[in-house]
Amino acid sequence: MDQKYIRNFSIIAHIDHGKSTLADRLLEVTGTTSKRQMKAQLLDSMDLEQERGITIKLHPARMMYKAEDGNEYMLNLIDTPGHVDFTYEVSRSLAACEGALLVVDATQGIEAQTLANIYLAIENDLTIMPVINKIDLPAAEPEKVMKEVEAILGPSDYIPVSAKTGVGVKNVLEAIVNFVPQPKGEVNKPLKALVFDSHFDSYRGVEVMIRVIDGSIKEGQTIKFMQTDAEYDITEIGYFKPSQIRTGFLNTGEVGYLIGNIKNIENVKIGDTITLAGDETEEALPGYKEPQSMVFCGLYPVSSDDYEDLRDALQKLKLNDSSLRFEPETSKALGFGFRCGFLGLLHMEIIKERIEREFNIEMIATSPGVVYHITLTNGEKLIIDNPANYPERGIVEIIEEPIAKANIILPNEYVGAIMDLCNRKRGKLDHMEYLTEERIMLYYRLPLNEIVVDFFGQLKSLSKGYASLDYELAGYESSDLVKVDILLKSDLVDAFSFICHKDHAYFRGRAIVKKLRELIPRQMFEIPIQASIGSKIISRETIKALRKNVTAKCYGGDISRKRKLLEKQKEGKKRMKSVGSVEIPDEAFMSILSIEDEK
Amino acid sequence: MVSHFYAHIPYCTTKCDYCDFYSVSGNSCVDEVYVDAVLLEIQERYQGDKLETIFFGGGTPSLLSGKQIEKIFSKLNISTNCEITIECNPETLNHQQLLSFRKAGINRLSIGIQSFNEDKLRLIGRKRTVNAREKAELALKVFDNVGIDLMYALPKQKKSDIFREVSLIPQEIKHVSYYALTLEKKTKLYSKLNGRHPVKDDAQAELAEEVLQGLESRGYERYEISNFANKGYECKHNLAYWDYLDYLGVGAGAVSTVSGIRTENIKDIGKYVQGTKANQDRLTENEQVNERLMMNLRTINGAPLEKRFKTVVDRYGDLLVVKEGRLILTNKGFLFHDTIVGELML
Repeated sequence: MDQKYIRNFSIIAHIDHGKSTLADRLLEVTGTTSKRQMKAQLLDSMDLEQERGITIKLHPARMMYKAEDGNEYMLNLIDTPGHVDFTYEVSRSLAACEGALLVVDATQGIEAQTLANIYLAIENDLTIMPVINKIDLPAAEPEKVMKEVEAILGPSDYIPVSAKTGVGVKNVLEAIVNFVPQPKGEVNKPLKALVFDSHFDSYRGVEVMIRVIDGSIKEGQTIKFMQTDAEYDITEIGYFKPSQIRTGFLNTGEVGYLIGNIKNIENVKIGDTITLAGDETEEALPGYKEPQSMVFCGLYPVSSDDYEDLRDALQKLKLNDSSLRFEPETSKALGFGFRCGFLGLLHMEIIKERIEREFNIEMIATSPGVVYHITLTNGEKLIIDNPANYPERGIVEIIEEPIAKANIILPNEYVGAIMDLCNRKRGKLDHMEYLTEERIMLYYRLPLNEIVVDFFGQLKSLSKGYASLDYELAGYESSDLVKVDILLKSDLVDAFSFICHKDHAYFRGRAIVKKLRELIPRQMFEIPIQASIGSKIISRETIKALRKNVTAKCYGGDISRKRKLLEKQKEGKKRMKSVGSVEIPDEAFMSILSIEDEK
Repeated sequence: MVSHFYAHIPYCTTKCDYCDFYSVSGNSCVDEVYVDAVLLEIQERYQGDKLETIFFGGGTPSLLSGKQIEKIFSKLNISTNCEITIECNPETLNHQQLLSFRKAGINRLSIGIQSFNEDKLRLIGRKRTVNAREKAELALKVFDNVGIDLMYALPKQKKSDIFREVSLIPQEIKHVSYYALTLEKKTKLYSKLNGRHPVKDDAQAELAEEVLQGLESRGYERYEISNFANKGYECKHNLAYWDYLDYLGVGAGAVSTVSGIRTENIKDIGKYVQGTKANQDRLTENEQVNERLMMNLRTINGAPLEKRFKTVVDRYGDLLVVKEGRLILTNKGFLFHDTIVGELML
């Protein structure tokens, strides 16, 4: 199709603001799919997304639309993952578009994550069209919501819609045709296509989702991934409706998928440029980045029998998520497990939950950590993503930690509480802005290691759920950090070690020691629990020895019940991890993830 | 062969707050229909094996009349040396009744005194309007083999309280069961105390120590975690449980174990009388091994030693001894019976 009649756009929205409903309507009104089909195809998502407040990522879809000007247009919807951890993926999806619909709930207003995506869209030179949704609701205040939008975009028009009732949907389609710029690729240049997503199918290999920028592409051709230099023969090519429709080719400006017997997902990198082997484009598309793990934690099966299953699960997840990193790791306390790297906190949560829900493996996750840059006194530089590898204190010259640029949007009544929280978390206020009279945006510089431990939960609880957070890595800064170890009966329990700011070390060490005293059951001997920095003990508690564990009465009528009690006790013991002679219940490992800071 | 017979009499005048045995309060005697149902059950399930021990438990079995007991005995094949125990509540004990029990064939009494201190009893929801010590002495006029039940770890109990209790045990009492107060779920006491035992574990362990010393000084020997007796007066019926021998239990809520099959009668007098079928379970090999261990290790005879016990034996040196091919818990080990059994279980 002539590029004149192609429009590529995405939808930016916060969870529950109506993205998928609007997408459904667009597909329905253009006759792309029937209502019944859509349910099955579009809303194919995890419960988790709902629970964690991530918008559902829709499949790309091509719609044919006969506009009021009498011409038929090809509208390609390319969706973006709705969370901060996937900023890079979002930016690549946006890079495949010329325009974006900014969907905002007429009763809610803009949230931090939406805002971050708006900025990404602006960076990618997209035309942004505000769509105010849910105007059918009595509480709808489109004008007020538009004030927030205009605070960011400047004076704009908007399209009022109710995706639920269908009001305004037609106007949205017309706006896409009239305001989203057409693609401006060079038809006759060598192939240049952007990889914006991929999916692994166990029968067909990797399905690569692409936007053709220059030139065109056909089945049978040999393509080359410019970052990895991997070459493949295309066996199938087509577009999404949202199910795959094979066409055998894609032309300049079009969006679709290709399959080429690609078994190794490592060769398909989001943001990479595809060109034709033998007729290569001179320059790859700008903006490619290697995915970077920002948050790390150890994942260990509760039962050591599940180790192989855990490895399988991680491998399977990695097939669809090349940003997941993992390698085997051994802990004295937890046995065999994996050190895993994630794009961010939410990415970590998603992977953990999927392993538990989809693969049914019970796990212990160690406290999440970040990557530290350490310079030793001898000038040697180290990169540490695991407290276990932290060098001896005496030889550390400089330690640098990742700093995040965070923005928080919240109703002004919670500003005090949230600023307190940020201060406790060593945040530095950069500046604040009023979005409207009631809603404020705070810009903070926050150490990433403070965000990864229980920040989001506290943010939500202190603001009754109203605050939203977005952050991105802003660089490294040197900081006075120390490693705190926890010892049980003088044995160091590696899984409890953590790195934190010196000013927090005493409090957190003490909090963990106290918590462990509650959670570790009394045993046959006394258990001293200590927190230490190097050889210096900063806190100590003692679990007294158990004095008795006996059933007073057991006669003919009690035998079954008492046996079952003992069996249960034994089952519980199996879930304990032991360090030296001390048995530690698995809750103990989880609990230290939510130690609250001193107020 | 089943040589041990138990009859459950779930009738009480009042229910004590700590009690989790099945019983119905508000009764001053045992319904005739209930005795008839017991007789019917005996007819259906008892094969006529010669009985070495018989035990009437409850509830308050001493609410049975001598006649009712005789009726039951008429259906049983009782060996000449059979130990025949009935549990009694001192509250309703009288001379007449004791004579009728003796006449019926009872030869051992177990009196549920729990405490000689009425204030302490009130704290755990048991009424006492009689002098328990006098009642025990009364029983000793009719029976030679009399045991009493006592409890420690009562609210605010001190070591000196234990000393006093022990000193109040009449000289001729042959057997003392001394239990730690156990807070069982679904009891009145449990909800009254919000599930929190009034005496902490550490203090309980100290009181247990005092109980042991006190009873030993009175000449009783410990032969099970909570049971002490003069030599030769150990309760044979209970030893059968701890030896993991088969036993037949009749009555509402009674349990039997015969040839690896556990039968639990319904805990409902009405339904029991109507003939509701009991619940039966076949125990697996492992369950039997585990139960045998759990029961055996409660007594000073211990359990037959097995190779697989080695690591536990090495680890818990001062809690157990190995003697003549048996693994036996020490006095200290008895305090950790659950821990050790848990380690040894399959």
